[in-house]
Amino acid sequence: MTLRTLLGALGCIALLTLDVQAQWFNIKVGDTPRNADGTPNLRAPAPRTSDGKPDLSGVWHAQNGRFIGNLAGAAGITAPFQPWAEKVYKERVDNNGLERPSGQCLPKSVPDAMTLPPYPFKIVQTPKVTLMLFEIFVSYRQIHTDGRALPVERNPSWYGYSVGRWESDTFVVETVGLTDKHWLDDSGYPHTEALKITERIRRRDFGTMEIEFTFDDPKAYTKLWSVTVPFELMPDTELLEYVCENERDLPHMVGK
Amino acid sequence: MTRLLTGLAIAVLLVPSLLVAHHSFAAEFDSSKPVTVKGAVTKVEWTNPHIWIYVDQKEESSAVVAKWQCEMGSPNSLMRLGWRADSLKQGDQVTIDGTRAKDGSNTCNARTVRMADGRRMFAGSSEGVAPTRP
Repeated sequence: MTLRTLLGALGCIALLTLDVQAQWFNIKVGDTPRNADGTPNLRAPAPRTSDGKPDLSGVWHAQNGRFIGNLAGAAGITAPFQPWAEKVYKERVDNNGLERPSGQCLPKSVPDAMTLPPYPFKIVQTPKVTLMLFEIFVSYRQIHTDGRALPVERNPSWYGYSVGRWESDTFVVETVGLTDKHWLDDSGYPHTEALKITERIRRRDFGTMEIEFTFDDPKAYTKLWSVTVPFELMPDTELLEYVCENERDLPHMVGK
Repeated sequence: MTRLLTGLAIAVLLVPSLLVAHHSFAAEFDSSKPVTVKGAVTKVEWTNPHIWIYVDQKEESSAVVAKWQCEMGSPNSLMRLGWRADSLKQGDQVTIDGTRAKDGSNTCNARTVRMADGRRMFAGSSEGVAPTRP
């Protein structure tokens, strides 16, 4: 982005900021710790639930857009592709992501519904289930913490099946059963239905969270690979609805 | 003034993250083809996944009108920057700087929208996030 563009943006904001109080963009939410001037204290300790576990609840978004743009590249690694998976990936990149599922208003999932900075997701943590509510495409995933095992029979789906457990202050989530139509990011990292994703989620303080995603898919990758993505809390705001109701790009998509 | 400064701070934080769309920018638009569209707004679609604005551009020295359609960011992204559904209205005179579609149609991805009163608004273009090799 050029400086000129940024200055244009700031000019726009200067004119329009007076309206920011409207709707639910700027409301005082829950038990947010505050500084003396009333602003959220994002460096305060991570909150805890009544049973002493860290409380991940809140509206979050990825700190930057690098991981949605290139999941492995953002982590400074090269994905350990199986040959066929590398071929698929290169075709997707060479074709400028023409077939990206979300371009057809199909869902994003784990981790690409989470690594997309403009569209936050809300975590609602309860003792037996933790919900992730995604703004993009108005979708959700359930992470069960009632002791159930991952299902043996899995009908592949866009969000799969997730169970979670606590290891000290880290919430460990295992997810299986994801459809192979899904891409791991916008550049097109593929996976098979054998994929298992393990997330290690840590809320470092009130305003920051970090998730290590580990991808275990021996059919598509020769070994496990991991990326750690930083997230930021969006205090004093709410999710907005995002229904993909007016898709007008597809007729103009040509690829290369 | 505090509110204004807060808004500016939020804008600085949010603007880079706007550069992501549900679809691939590079599969639809040609970054080597910048375009400027100037004319009257005939329709605004304030809907996800993208805001679309339709503009009648009069060709110089003729009565011919070229009908253009340009996409902006999503309503969600632009509302968080302070835009509202009535920020752009039918009849407004605008100048759009953007990028033309590869298919040669009068379709563009808007980078900025300049209003007749001189305001220059960031439009939430998704340019610049084409997939890259690792």
